[in-house]
Amino acid sequence: MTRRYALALAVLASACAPEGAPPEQPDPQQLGEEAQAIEPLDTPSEENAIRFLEQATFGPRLANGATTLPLDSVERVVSVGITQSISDQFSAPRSLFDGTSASKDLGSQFFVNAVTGQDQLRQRVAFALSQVLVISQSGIPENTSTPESEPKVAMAGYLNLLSSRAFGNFRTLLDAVTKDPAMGTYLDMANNKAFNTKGEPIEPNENYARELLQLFTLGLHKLNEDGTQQLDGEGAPIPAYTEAHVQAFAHALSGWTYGGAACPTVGRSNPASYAQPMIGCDVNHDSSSQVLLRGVSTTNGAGAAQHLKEALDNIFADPNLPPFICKQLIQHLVTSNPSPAYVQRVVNVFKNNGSGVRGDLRAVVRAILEDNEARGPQPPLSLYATYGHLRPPALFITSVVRWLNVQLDTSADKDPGAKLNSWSRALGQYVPRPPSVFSYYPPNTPAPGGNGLLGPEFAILDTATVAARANFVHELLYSTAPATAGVVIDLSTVPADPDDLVLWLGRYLLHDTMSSDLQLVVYNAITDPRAGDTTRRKKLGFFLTSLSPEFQIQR
Amino acid sequence: MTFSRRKFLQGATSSLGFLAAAATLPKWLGEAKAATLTGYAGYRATVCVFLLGGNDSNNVIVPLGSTPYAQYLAARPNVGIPQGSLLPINPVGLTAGSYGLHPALTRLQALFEQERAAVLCNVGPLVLPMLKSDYTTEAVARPDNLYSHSDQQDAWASAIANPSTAALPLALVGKATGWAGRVADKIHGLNPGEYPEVTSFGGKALFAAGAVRQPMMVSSSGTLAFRQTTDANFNALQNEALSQVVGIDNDVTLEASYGGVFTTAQAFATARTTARDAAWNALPQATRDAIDALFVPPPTGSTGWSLHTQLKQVLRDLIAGAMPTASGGLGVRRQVFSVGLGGFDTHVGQRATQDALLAQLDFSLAAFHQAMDLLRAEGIFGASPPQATLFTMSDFSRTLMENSDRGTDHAWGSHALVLGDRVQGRRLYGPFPNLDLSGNAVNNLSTVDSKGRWIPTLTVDQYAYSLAYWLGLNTATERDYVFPNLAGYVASATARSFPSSARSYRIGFMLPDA
Repeated sequence: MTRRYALALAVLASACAPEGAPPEQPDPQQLGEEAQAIEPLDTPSEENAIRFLEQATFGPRLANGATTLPLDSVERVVSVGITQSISDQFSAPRSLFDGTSASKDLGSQFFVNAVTGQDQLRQRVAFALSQVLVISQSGIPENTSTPESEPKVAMAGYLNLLSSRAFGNFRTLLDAVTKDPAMGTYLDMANNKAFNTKGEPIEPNENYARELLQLFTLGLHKLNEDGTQQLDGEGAPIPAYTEAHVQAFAHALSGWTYGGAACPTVGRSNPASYAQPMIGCDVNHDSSSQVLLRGVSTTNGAGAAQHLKEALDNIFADPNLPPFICKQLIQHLVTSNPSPAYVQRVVNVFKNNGSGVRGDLRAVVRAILEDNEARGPQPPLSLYATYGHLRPPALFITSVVRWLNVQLDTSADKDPGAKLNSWSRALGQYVPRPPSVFSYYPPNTPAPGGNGLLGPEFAILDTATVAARANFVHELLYSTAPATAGVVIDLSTVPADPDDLVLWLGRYLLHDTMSSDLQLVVYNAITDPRAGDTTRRKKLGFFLTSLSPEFQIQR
Repeated sequence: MTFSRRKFLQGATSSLGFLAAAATLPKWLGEAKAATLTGYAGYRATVCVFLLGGNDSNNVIVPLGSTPYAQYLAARPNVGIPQGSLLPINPVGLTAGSYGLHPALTRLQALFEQERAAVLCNVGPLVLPMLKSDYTTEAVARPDNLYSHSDQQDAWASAIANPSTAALPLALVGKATGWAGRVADKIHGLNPGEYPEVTSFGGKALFAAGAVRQPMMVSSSGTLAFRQTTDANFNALQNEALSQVVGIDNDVTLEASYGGVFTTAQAFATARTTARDAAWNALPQATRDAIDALFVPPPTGSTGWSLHTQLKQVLRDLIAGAMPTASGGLGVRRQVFSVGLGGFDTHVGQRATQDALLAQLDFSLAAFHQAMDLLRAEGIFGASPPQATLFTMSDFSRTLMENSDRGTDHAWGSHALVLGDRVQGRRLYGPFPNLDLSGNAVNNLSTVDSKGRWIPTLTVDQYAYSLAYWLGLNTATERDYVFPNLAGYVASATARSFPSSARSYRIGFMLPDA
């Protein structure tokens, strides 16, 4: 930490170099090498540490004089390095969701956890997983004859499931998700019977089987291991599975219902219960053999539990799964358009964590964050134009408030998490209520004007939500409403002097990559007489920088 | 290290050119080719009402003849509407009273009889014309992901039923576009200036996205505005600096994408707000009061309604668009609006849910239509007053056969409603499906299976092109850009001797221009 800070100070000092000194033009070649090879994981520069925290947390923060450096502070990462920081994050105490009626809304809890929780990486990965293995709180019906809120109980259980398994094995996660009662309700896995009450065979509901294949594990089309699409002889994509597969999986996964004392009789269901996983009931299960992916058949005559295991084993072993999942995790954490080589390196770890284990998410997350394409003080030069991703609403909001040393006042009459979620909703991301099983935005959305580059988050960026981005920052800075709601920002650590202010904004918000164009506009604005007093200058500088394209696109 | 105060100050001189050239419009605006104005010289708008979740159109219009009605009721003894409750209509060319509308659609029944409203029967996404045998044998490729909400919403919004395999014009490759957005790409030249052709208050965002032209997306409340402080001088400084900031993209693609959307919002939010207020106030007070009154929902049963609010905001935007610039309006010629109403996914307990939604639809569509009647009489628009056509889209219709939960499940072809003073109304367009599901419907050529899922006999592309043509999309080149599957569809229907309704590019529900 000390060494890095000294280095930064040295730069500030050298900024006063005489006019005659040679112009400071960075040599792209050297920078590229420095970014990709020179910086070891255990001694990251401050820029590299900030970039790491943008990828691994809900926004970098400063220690602000804390005697013990917080795990998610820039100073701590600089001090202990990337590898150790990831290890620390793996063992940080887990934030939990409370589904009881007395607690705040889950969206409020989400934002309080995201802004103040220590388990930043776990929450970040769980948030990414929640956008792949999707349930929406809006998709769980309320039972008005019970005192509790079923959507809240069910969703809290599911969010806790994701965070508890975020660093576990993907196969185990898949099992838990498939048997989760909230998922059972959301995608009709629950009460999916193969027989009616007369014992006559009926067609099981295909909903879960279809989404399990299309959205949770394989995607529509066959992929190469590096995440690129396989094409047939005529250049067309190749389906990853057929309609017959969907029906086969629907049959193999039939017979599950909500947990209870016992299975129901044929053709009947247990009442909805969100306290425990679903149970497999052979009486409602089609025990016949089904032909699954790659021609693998299930055991003829086996029960619901055995067939579920065989079905999930079959999917987990499919070669499409590692690239499909790994690329999406990279897109959520690091960049929308990772190089095929980056995807391949992470896929290799997914296939084998080094100890022969497939699907080890802890190893996968580490591989994503320690990769050369993610590390260094700035993106690789070779990917300069295509790198980064638009900060999704929730992350944009948490990043902004965390830079401003926010304090959330959660005393009785205040609900700062709800305030943060109301902004997120206006920006198009109402947590945890994605509008459909395709989540808030699908991973294959092209960026507008992007010549085919992907920009998933752009699916929810339009004139209304982009104005809401500006209005969020505006309200946060210029209105008293956020503080009244318990979102209290602190501008005292932001420098007042215009030069120092521009330096501070560039050094932290943009990890020292602030363009000279942006520096100039911000400097001119904050030194304009109309900018007003010191506080308003700070606000103006922060407003402009946080809404600049170079901040909005996390790089 | 890339930053120093010296470099920062160097920037002060080297970047003056940048400041002078600060982007005011995204790079991808203003590329549309100029189109030539044909047809109506006044203002025209189409208004898409997207019924999200899959509206069960089998209960929107029901045959009243004894045989088909008995077939209908046999398939849905609980969900079906009693014969005596249906509102009879008298379509041109058919036996009087041969069909009835849902009992909630009282206003639409009257407008149908006044030749203002029409029904398009069994419309849906298709790539090529399809018989039941084609579906069963898969001799003709099915649309991508039939029966899936999001895919079928996208299919309606894009008029491209097969996004995974469609042969797209080069300009559309790698882009997710909707048919209204592509219409905007081509009719951009009909409007002066750069104001977005499409304004969306709800519905499907994809519908509004063009390859070149980007839409104005506003909240369903109608608001699109940037917060300001109480200090006008400070606001001016901040707004100016912000417009410069969002124009700095550093040659990073995604930064330019973000900046483009931001610039569109900033550039047009103020223009829109100003024009909405000015144009509204240019109307006589009595007219404004009358319009306001039309949109006041009934005192009972209207809790939670949202569609009438959205359509009122559309009307405000429409007035702003149609009002000449001399009167403070935008003075544009062609616009497309999008609104959405959700809740139609009636798997369980359909009647109560859908009946209430259709009552909301009936009230809201009629209020908008009557407001247009009032505007047409206003002298301020001159000899060519504004015209608007309302039309419905939905994910899909639902199974004719009800399920065990007094609901219905996802299906395919559905009946759509069109309404407006230029609609050739009191007509049913396209063949009505055969409702006979007896014997597992194996001999019923309308349905893919025993549940009553209709194979569309009109396509979304034909439906959409009929509306786009009315807006001014005239040439075959434009048509093939906006509807890349349509020419192939018509050619196949012709070669295979499908009924005439399948062999034409357009469906004749819009009155031709004089």
